[in-house]
Amino acid sequence: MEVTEAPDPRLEGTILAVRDLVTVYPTRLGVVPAVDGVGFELGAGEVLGIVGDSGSGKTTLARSLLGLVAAPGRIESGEILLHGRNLLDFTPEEMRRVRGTEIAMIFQNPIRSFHPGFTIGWQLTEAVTRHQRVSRREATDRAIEALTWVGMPEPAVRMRDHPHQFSGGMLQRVMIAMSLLNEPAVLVADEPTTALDVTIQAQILELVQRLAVDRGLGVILVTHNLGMVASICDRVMVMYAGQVVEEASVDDVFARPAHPYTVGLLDSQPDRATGARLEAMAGGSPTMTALPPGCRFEPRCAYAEAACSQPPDLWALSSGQTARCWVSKRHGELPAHPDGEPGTAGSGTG
Amino acid sequence: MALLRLEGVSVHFRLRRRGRAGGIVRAVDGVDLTINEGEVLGIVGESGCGKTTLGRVIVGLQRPTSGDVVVRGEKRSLRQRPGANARADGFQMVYQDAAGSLNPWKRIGWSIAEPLRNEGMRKPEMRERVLELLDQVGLPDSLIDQYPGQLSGGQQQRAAIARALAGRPRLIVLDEAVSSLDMSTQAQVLNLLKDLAERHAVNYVFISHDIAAVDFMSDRVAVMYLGKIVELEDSHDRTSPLVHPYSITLRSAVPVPDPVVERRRNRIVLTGPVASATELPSGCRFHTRCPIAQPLCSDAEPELVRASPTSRVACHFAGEFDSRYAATGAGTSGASA
Repeated sequence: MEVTEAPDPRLEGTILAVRDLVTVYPTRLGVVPAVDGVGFELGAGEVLGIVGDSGSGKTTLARSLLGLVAAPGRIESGEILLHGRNLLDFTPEEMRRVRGTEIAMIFQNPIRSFHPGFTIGWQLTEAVTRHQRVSRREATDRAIEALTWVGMPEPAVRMRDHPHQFSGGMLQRVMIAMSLLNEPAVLVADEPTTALDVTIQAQILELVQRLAVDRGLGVILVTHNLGMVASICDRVMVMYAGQVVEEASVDDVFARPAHPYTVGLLDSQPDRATGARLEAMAGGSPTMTALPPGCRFEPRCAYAEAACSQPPDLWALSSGQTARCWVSKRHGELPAHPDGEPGTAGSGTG
Repeated sequence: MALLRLEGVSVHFRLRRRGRAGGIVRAVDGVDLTINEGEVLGIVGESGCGKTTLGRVIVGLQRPTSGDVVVRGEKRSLRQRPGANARADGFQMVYQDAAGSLNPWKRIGWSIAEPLRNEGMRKPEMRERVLELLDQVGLPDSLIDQYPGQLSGGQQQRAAIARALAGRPRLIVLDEAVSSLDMSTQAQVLNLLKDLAERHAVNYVFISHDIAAVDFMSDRVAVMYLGKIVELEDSHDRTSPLVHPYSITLRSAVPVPDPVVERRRNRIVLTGPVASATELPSGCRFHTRCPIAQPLCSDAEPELVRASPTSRVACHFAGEFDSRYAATGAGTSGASA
């Protein structure tokens, strides 16, 4: 698809813009809107964190961006604009090119993402020659260079090793190197360090952050780890039951969360200094085939009021944050305590 | 009195390759550890450090290769079958994968009642007890007749905890018991465990790779690295920091959920190769990755000795981390000796 009209001025500096994206999975119990009207923009060199519990739709969202939603799931509507071109109009063959060269993805489990029977060098050079008309020799040089970017010791030697000869952390580096080979504009990282030990996690996080800054890469980091978000993200999108419930800069989200679910997530973090009881949220996420008619968080929410029986929109607040919450809309922010008895969310069953 | 004492406990596994003897994995290597009545002992370490094997030794599901396990002053017989030990001592274990530890073809009530059946409890009495247990872990009565697949992850883990409580155990070993749960559910289950410890006078050994969760749950923390305890707190003091270079690195590696703190601090990033439990490095096991390692560290293995009023540490340079790390050029180099 060719872009003929002038580029949208709203997209200045934006690499990727997603509008009203709906991805559904048909099930026996009905159609599940795993991603339900999600929109966001990603700039060059920006790290956007997507946070939420399992089943909130964050992984489906990430896979939708690359056209990797597993059948029978499908993208129902919306737009995914990469440099102004809508990826949803692309043919499968065109999407394959996009995945190789413009948007790259790294997954949770590096060992499952490589073919066990081929050397790392073979797999890296194939990723180059698949998408670019270069000689085997040049592809090898590029692969070795990519391995040096990610801090692999003795890259030329390690090219001859098979995946099982690498540790988990080193293999995740190889995967990041592979994703960078064709200089993509966007890197989607789905829980990239969950399978790794914490000391290795720190190394990988540092690497991703450095790549975003040095190479102007837009990074989407899907995670449930708020510490990781605080450490490398610029902006945060919080998802709950398929919807974005809050979007803001990382400082705003942690300093003054505008959605009760975000408050609950932050309060769930164990505090080392006190060892005091955690302010756990009551209950669990709703069943996606039987969603509450109004606000999806209402059944668990300590702030809930009469208005919450109607579905809220994602409203912009004066602080520059956006939140899908009637209470923060009415107050312009989320009050320190719910109007009812404070601390009603303290005990729970789940 | 000590509930349980481990004296020089080692667990070595022999590897076999095509029927022939291969290397030896020293999963647990000479561990001395005491668990006192009424305390929660946390064990923290990375994958492969031997924390799960140590947990299994404590419960009695794993026989040590050498060393003694002393339960309430009596040496545990090595001749019994492992499961029988756990039953005799009143010890229980809760695993990370709650779904996998409940029989998918049996109702929740049946699974929770399993230890009661083993005791020979009669049916009506048993149902009463199961309902009581469900109540204690905050699950509705109606779940008694449901199958594990109908429960959420958090509910399954609560059911597994209810089963562990059924036989009124003296000690429960929780092996990554909350690691697979979502943050919000994790907080609920951690709270539940704390409440149960207070109400039922049950001891826990809380094993996890997550130092934040271990800090939250534990009265004392043991840090493991490649089969050894490298740091052991002996009193309940959350304010005094851990001092072994590995403990310091472990805590530094965990990102804090606060962007302001994260921007300010200097994370210690390890660079050296990770050693394996089949080919242990000479001297201190951590020296290949340690940011402050000296020539001495690759020659002599440090003993676990008192380094502060509250903790014992196995490090030649305990307490000197900050000054020595600053001398390496703080964060830019971390090369080992």
